[in-house]
Amino acid sequence: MTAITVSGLSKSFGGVVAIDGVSFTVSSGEVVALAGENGAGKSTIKNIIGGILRPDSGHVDFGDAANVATVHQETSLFPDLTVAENILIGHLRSSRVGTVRPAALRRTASLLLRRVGAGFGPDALVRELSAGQRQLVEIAKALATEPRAIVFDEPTASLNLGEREMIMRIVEQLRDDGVAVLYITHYLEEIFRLSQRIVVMRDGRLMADRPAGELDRFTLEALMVGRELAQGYPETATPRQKIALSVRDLGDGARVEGVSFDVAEGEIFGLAGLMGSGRTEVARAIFGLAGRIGRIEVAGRPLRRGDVRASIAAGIAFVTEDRRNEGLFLERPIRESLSIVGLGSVCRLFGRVDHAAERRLTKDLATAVALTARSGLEADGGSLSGGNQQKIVLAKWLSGQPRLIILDEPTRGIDVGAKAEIYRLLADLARAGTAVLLISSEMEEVLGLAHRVGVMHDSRLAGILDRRSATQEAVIRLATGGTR
Amino acid sequence: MSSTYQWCARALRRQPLFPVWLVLVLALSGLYDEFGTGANFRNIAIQASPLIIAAVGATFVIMTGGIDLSVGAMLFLAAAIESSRAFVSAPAGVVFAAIAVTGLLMGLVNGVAIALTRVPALIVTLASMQVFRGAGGHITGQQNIDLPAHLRGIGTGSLLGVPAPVLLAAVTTLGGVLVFGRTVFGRYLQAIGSNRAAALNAGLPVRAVTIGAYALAGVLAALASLTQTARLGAVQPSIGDGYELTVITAVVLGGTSLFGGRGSITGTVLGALVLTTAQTGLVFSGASPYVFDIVRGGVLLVAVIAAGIRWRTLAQALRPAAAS
Ligand SMILES: Nc1ncnc2c1ncn2[C@@H]1O[C@H](COP(=O)(O)OP(=O)(O)OP(=O)(O)O)[C@@H](O)[C@H]1O
Ligand SMILES: [Mg+2]
Repeated sequence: MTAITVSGLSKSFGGVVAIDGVSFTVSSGEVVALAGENGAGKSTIKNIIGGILRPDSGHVDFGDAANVATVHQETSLFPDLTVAENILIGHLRSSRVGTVRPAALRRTASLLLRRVGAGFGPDALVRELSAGQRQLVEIAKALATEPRAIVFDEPTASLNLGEREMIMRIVEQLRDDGVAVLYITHYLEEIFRLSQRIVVMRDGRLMADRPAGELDRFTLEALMVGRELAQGYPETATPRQKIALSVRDLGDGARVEGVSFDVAEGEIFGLAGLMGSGRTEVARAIFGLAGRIGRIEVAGRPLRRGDVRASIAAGIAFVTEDRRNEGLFLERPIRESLSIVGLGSVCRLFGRVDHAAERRLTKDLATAVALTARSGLEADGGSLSGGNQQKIVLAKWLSGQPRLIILDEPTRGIDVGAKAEIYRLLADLARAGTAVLLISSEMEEVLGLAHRVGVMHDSRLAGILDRRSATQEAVIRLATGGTR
Repeated sequence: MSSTYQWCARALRRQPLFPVWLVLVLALSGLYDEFGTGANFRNIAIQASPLIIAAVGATFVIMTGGIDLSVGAMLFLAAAIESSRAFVSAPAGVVFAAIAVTGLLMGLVNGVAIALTRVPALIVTLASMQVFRGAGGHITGQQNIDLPAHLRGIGTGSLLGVPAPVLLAAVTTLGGVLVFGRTVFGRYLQAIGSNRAAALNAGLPVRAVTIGAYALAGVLAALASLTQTARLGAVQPSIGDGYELTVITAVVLGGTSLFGGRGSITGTVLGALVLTTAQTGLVFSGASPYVFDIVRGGVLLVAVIAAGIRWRTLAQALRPAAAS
C-alpha cells in the first residue's frame, strides 16, 4: 500500500532550481533511502512532504496515511523548555494528556524517550543536552504523533555508533509496524542495512530509483557524485618531532579532569569516545571557549586560559560541532562567513576591506572544501544545505595555515564525495606541519586518518592507542570503561 | 522578464522604502500647493539632518543587536554643555571639540557598561538616559538659553548653496556607508549582530567593537545636538525629549533588524526622510503635534510587521494550510 506518492515535484529558490520534476513512492512497511550529494535537494523534498514548503509544481499524496511526521536535520527545539515539553509541544493543547496533568506529560515523554533509548529524563532542559541528545529528543517528538509515515533527515548525523544502532533499530521497528519510512542519510552502510529501495538525487533531479539489492556501494557513490570516487583514506605522512600542542592535567572546571596528551606537528590525533564522554569539553577548554584548569602549551609557549583571541593568535583553529549556533552567519552572505577569520589578510589602510581580494580569498576557500553553493557566495548562509553549511565552518579557518586545528565532528552531514575532499585536506594540512586534533563519532574515520587515538571515557582520558593497536574493538573497550 | 525589470525588482527588494517616500512626497505635493516648493524641500532636508545624523549612529548600535534609548538624553546633555556658562566666550572650535568629547564619553559609558557587564542594552541605556537628562537639566536649570551668534553658523550657514546641516548629514551618511560596507569594523558589527557566538568563536574583538558602536552613536548624537541647537539658536529644556523613539523608528523603518545582523545606512536615511516628510505634511494639514506621535507609533508597528513578513518569506516558511 502506497503511503507517500511524490509526483513531479519541482521547487526553485529565487532562480536556483532545488528540485526538478522528482517522482517516487514510499509504501507502508517499507524503508526508502534518499541519497545524494550536499545540496542535491533531499531536505527540500522532506520539507515539501512535511508541509513546510510548497512546491512550485507537482504534488504529494498520502493515501490514507494522513499522519506524516518529519525529523529535521537541524534540530528545532526550544532550549529553555524541558525535554518532555519539547516532545509533546504539539499536543499540549489538543491531546488529553498534556492539558490535564504534568505528571501524565512526563510519563508519556518517558515512554517515548525509552523507545529511542535516551539516557536522560523528561525533566532535563534541552539547553543542557548535547547535539546528539537533542537529536534523540527530535525523534521522540516525531514518534509522539504515532505517525503512519515518517521522514528522517540525517537522524544519525550527530550520533555515535551505539546510538546510531539504536536509531536503526527504531527504524526497523517502525518498518515492521507497517510505517512508511523515507530515510535521508549520508551513511551508506545505513542505507544498505535499512532500505528496500534507494532513490538517488543529483542536482535536484532523480538519478535512480532501484531496489537496494541491485546497487552496491560503488555504483551508489558514482550515481550520487557523478564520477568514480577514490576509495579508502589518504596517505598521511609521518609526524614531525616537534610538539605542537601539549596538554597537561586539563579540566574544564566542571566534569572533565586530568586529561594529558601531546600532539606533534604534522600529527593527526583522534579523540574518540561516547557521546557525552567529554571530548567536546576538552576541545573547548583548549580553544578558550570553556573554563579550564591545567596547563596547555602551543609550540612550547603557555597558552592563556579562556581567551579565544589568544588561542587564534597562537595559531589554533576550531571547527565547532554546532554550526548553526556558532559556526556561521545565517542571514549574512556566505562570503562573509567564509572570510570572517581571514579578514585581516584582505584588510588595507584604515581598516578598509579589499573586496576584490576578499572575493578571491572566499572563492579559493569554497573550492578547497568543494562547496556547492548554487546561488553563489552572495546568497545568505541560511540558504545553504546542511552539509554545505558544515563546509563553511571548516573553510573559514583555512585562509592561513593553522598550527593546530581542532575539529569537532567535521564531517557530520557531509556527502561521500566531500568527505573524501576533507580527508585529503586534513592529510595535506598535516603534511604541511599542522597538528590536527580530530574529534569524531565516526570511528572508521578516526581509525583511518589518525596517527594516534585518545579515547575518552566518563570525562577522563582512558587511554591512548597508536595506529597499530587502534582497532575498533580496542577503542570501544576503552570508551565503555574497559581496560586495554 | 526584461533585465530592467529585474534590476528594478532587485532595487525594490533592497530599498522598498524609496517608492514609499516618493509616493508620500507626491501625494503631499498634490494636496498642498506650498508643499511641492523648493523652499519647503530645503526645509525638510534641514529638519531631517539631525535625525539622520543621530539615526546613523543608532544604526551601528542596532546592527550589533543592541539598542540605545539614551539618544535623546545625549542630545540634551550635549546641548546643555554647549550652552553652559564656561563656553560663552570660547571660540566655536573649542566648543565643538568639547561637545564631541562629551558625546564620546557618554557613548563610552553606555558601551563599556554593556560590553563588560552583559546587562541588556535596554536596561543600561534606560538608566543612562535618566542620568544624562538629569545632568542636562541640572546644568541648564531647565531654562531656555540663547546661543551666542558664533555657535549658530552650523545651523544657518551654507556652502555653495547647500545648508550646513544638510552638508553635515550628507557627510555622516557617506562616512556611515563607507564604514558599514567597506571596513573591517563595519563587517564585524554586522557579524556580531548576526551571530554573537559565531563571532566569538571566530576570534572577533566582540567587546571592543560593541564599545566602538556605542561610542560612535554618542559622538553622532552630540553632532546631531550641535546641528539641532544651532538651527534653533537656543537650548530648550525639551530638546531631545522622546527623540530616541523617532530615531529608533527611523532605523527600523529603514529595514534594520531590531535583532541585529541585517540593515543598511541608506535605509536609515530614507527612514529619517520619510518620518520628517510625514511630520511636515502633518504641519501643513494643521494637525496637532500629537498626531505625529500616533503616526510614528503606527509606522514603527507597520515597519516591524513588514520586516517580519519579509524575513519569514526569506526563511521560506510559507506554511500551507494543510500541513499534516
Ligand atoms: N531557503 C533557501 N533559499 C535558497 N536556496 C535554498 C534554500 N533552501 C535550499 N536551497 C538550495 O536548494 C538546494 C537543495 O538544498 P537541500 O537542503 O534540499 O539539499 P540536501 O540534499 O538536503 O543537502 P544536504 O545533504 O547538505 O543536507 C541547495 O542548492 C540549496 O542551496
Ligand atoms: Mg539536507
